[in-house]
Amino acid sequence: MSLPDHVTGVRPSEEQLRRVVEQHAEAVYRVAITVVHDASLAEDVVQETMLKAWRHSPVPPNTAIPKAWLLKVARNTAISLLRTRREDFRGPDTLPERAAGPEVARIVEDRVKLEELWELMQHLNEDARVLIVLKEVDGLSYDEIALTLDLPLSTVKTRLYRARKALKDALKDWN
Amino acid sequence: MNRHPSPRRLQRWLDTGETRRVDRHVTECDLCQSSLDSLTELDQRVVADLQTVITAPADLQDRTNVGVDVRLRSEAAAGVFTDLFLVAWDVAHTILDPITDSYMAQPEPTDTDGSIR
Repeated sequence: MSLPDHVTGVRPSEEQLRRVVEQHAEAVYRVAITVVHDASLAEDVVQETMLKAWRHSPVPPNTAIPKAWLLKVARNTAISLLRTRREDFRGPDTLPERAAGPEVARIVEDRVKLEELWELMQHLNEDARVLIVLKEVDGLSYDEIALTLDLPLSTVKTRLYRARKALKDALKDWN
Repeated sequence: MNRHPSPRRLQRWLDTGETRRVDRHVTECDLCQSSLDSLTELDQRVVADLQTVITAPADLQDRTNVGVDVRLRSEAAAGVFTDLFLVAWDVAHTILDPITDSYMAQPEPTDTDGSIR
């Protein structure tokens, strides 16, 4: 099914939009869940971000949308969504299943550990959480993070050191 | 500050944010930045667990595509509805305009003395 011409115009094609979803939906979700702490809200953020990418793409059609731009949109969308629907904390039952092992006890233990880790992350401020996720999980470069968060490069580095230090301190009794 | 701060001083800077001199030095010194990188490096198991905690649902892509499609279709449908409404409005205008114009073109009814009623 294709969209009417007046809708498509110079926007990226549906095919391109699907490619953006395929390439970046998971990274967008990770930023979203880090900000909103709720799986279903995070999915709303992913959809909204993709629609914004389609409507306001910063690059001409047939050009790859920069990941940093997309993650910046995702973070801003998540923050404004959170302002309108503040329902903090994602319940432990929504945590994804970890790789299943043979012993139930170990699986339960793993889940409890993950829930604790998630709670510890909540003690960091939003900025610190997003920094850690972008650097450690998504593997963005400092330059990309600076673009995503609209911060000077030096600020990104110093805030990241402090964020990691804060998480390490929080994790001291965790293992 | 031209000399590199000691590891202890860097650690204190991490803990307390003191001092501005260290702050300035760190923002410009690659060597100290790499020391801070090592000092704050997260255990790879923690990173892996973090990845698990915030992992996206397996069907995220499918659900996103469906959700985005639904939104775009309903916007497109709303656009068509607006277009149809505007066409109907234009047609009504075209039909009614001559009638209104001819009515407006009639002279104001006047009394016998010529004053407007």
